Amino acid sequence: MSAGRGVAADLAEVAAAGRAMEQAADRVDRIDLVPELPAVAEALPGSRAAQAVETLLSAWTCGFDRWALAARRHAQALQTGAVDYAATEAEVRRALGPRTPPPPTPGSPARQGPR
Amino acid sequence: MATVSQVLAWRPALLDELACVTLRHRRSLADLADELVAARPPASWWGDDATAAVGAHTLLRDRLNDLAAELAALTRGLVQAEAGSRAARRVVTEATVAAGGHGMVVDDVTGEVRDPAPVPADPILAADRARLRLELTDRLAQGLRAAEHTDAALAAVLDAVVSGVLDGGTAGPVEAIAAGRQAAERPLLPLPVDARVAEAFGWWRSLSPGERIRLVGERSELVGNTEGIPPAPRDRANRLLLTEARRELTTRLRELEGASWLDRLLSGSSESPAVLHAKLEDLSAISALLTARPGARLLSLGLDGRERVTTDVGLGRVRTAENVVVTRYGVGTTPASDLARKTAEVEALLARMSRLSDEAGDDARHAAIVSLGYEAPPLAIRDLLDPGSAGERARGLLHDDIARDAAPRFADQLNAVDVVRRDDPHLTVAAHSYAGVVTGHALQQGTGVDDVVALGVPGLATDRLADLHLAPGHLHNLEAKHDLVADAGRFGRDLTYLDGVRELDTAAHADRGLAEVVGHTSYYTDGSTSQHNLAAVASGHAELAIDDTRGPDLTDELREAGHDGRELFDRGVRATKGFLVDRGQELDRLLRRLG
Repeated sequence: MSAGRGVAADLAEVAAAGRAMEQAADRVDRIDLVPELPAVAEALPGSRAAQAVETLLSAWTCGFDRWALAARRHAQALQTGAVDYAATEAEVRRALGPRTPPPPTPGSPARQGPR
Repeated sequence: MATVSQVLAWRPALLDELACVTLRHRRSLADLADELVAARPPASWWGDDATAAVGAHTLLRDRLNDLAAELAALTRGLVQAEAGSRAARRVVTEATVAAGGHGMVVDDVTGEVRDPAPVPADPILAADRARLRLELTDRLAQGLRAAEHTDAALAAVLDAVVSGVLDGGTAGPVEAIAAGRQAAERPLLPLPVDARVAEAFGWWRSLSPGERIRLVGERSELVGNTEGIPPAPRDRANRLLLTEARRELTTRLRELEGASWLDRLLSGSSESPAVLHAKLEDLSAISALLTARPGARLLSLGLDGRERVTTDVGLGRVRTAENVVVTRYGVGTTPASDLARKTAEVEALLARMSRLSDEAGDDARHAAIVSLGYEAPPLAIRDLLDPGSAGERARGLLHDDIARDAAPRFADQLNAVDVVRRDDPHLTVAAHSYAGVVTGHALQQGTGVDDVVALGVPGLATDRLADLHLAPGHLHNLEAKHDLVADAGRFGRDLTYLDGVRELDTAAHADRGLAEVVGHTSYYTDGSTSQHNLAAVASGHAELAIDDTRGPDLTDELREAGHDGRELFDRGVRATKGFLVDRGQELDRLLRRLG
C-alpha cells in the first residue's frame, strides 16, 4: 500500500474491512436459485412467466456469483495490502535502524502502525 | 394466454415454496447491512489506494443493493402470483365444475360455455338454462382474465429483474429491498366496464384476499354498490361509505349555507341545501337502523340520487338462506321516512315465514332484502306542479319512465342473489304499488326470480305472464279492499284479469286468527291474511296460502270493460281514481305528520 502522495492507514482496520467483505461474499455465495427457479414453469404451465424465467435462470442468477467473486477479490486486496503494508513498514524501520520512540505525552492515543 | 386446462393445471403451492426460498435469501441480503458497513475502508486510511478501495466498495455496495432490490421484487412477484393464480384457478375451477354438473362443455381456448343439450320445451327452463350458460361463460372469462393478469404481472417482474432496471439505491440492502418490493407491486385487475353480474362476481373472486381488503377501504363506493360482489364485503364497504358520506355532506351543507347567493351562482353547483338536508336525513335513518340492528347488512348505498339516498338492507343470511324475499316499495318511499318501519315489517314477515316452515316441518332458513334501491317518485301533489327535478320525478308517476330506468339495476340485484351463491335459492319479489311496474320491467330482462307477490300494484308493465319468465301460478296478486291503486291498471292490465295469476285473499280469517287489511298501505300488517299469504309464498309453501275466492269488485269490472274497448271511459275512471288516491295519500301523510 503506497502512494505517491504518501500513505496512512490503521492496518488492523483495513484487514478487518477485508474480512467483513469476505464474509459478505461467503453469504452471497450461498444464494443459489438455479435449482429453485424452474418451479415457476412447473407452477404456471402455458404462462409467459414460465418463458421469462428461462432468461432469468441464464442471465440473472450468475449476478450473485459475479458479485461474490468481485467482493472476494476486493477483500483479498484489502487483506493482502494490509500485510504488504506492514511488511514494508517493518523494512523501512529496519533500514532506518533502531530508534527510541519519544515518550508518549499524557492523553495521546495509542496507534497501531505508522501514520 | 393460458388455456382453461392449463389454468386448471396451475400449482400455486409451488410458487409459495419458491417464494419462501427467495424470502430466505432476501433476508440474508438484508442481514449483510452490518457487514457492508464494516467492510468499508477505514476513514483513517487515506491516499490513492484508499480512494480506489472506497470506490470499489461503493460499486460493490450499489450492485449488492440492486441484487437485493431484484430479489425483493422477485419475492413479491411470486407471493402475488401465488395468491393471484390460486384465485384465478378457483374461479375457473368453480365455473368449469358447475358447467360440467349441468351437462355443459367448456371451450378450452376461449372459455366459452356451450350447451349441447336440446333446448327445453318449457320456455322458463330454456331461459334459465340460457342464463346459466351466459353466467358461467362470464365467470370463466373473468377467471381467464385474472390468470392473464397474474401471469403478465409476474412476467413483468421477471423481465424487470433480467433487464436490470430495478435500482437498489445507494443506502443499504434494507432500503433496497423496500424499493424492490414496491416496484413489484402489481396493479389491481380493474372491474370490466359495464360488467354483468357474473363478470363482477368472477372479478371479485379472482382478487387475492389482500387486494379485496384494499379495495373495500380504498374503493368503498365501487365495492358497496356493485351487484355480483358478495354481501359481506359490500356491507363493510358501505358502512365506511356511510360514515364518509355523512361527514362530506355535512361539510358541503355548511359551505352552501354559509355561501352568498353570488358565490353559489359562481360555483356552478346545482346542489340545494334542501336536497343535502334530505340526503343527510336518509343517511341518519340508515345509520340509526344499523345501530339498532347490528345483524343487518348494508347491501347498497346510493348517494347520486337527485333528491334522496337509495339503499338496500339485508336481513338474515342472504347468501345461504334457502328462501330469499326481496321487498320493493312504491311512491314516496324514502329511507328517512320509511326504512325503520319497513324493516320492522319485513322482520315480522321473516318470523311468520319461520313459523310456517315449522308448521310444514321443514328447517329452511329465510332471509330478506329490504329494497329502497331506487328513487321512487314522490307523492305530493305540489311536486306535480314543481318545474324542477322534484316535479319531473313526480310526473314520472304518470308514466313508467322511472320504472324503466330503475329496472336494469333491479334485474342485476335479483340476478346477483343467485350468482353469488353455490346453490339456487327460492327467490321471491314482494312488490308494492309502483314497485310492481319496476319489477315487471326488471323481470322482462330475465332474472332467477321464482315467485312474485304483487301488493296493490297498478300493473306489471305487461299483459303477458310469459314476458315475466314466471311459471303459471307463480305470480300472486294481493288486492285489498278499497285499494284503488291496485285497480288502476295504469301500467298494464289489472292483474285480476291476467291469465296464470293466482289471486290471494286479504280478507279476515278469524278461524286462523288472521285479520283483514284495507286500503293501499297495510299489506304487511302483522297477523293479517295478507302477511300470511306473502309469508307462505316466500317461505316456499305456496300451498299454505289462502286463495281469494271472491269475484272482482266494481272498479275491477269498470276497468276491465274499458280494457275491452271503452278506452275513453276507462281513462276517465283511472284519472278520477288517481286523483282520489293522491288526495287520500296526501291526507294520510298529513295525518301522520299531525299524529
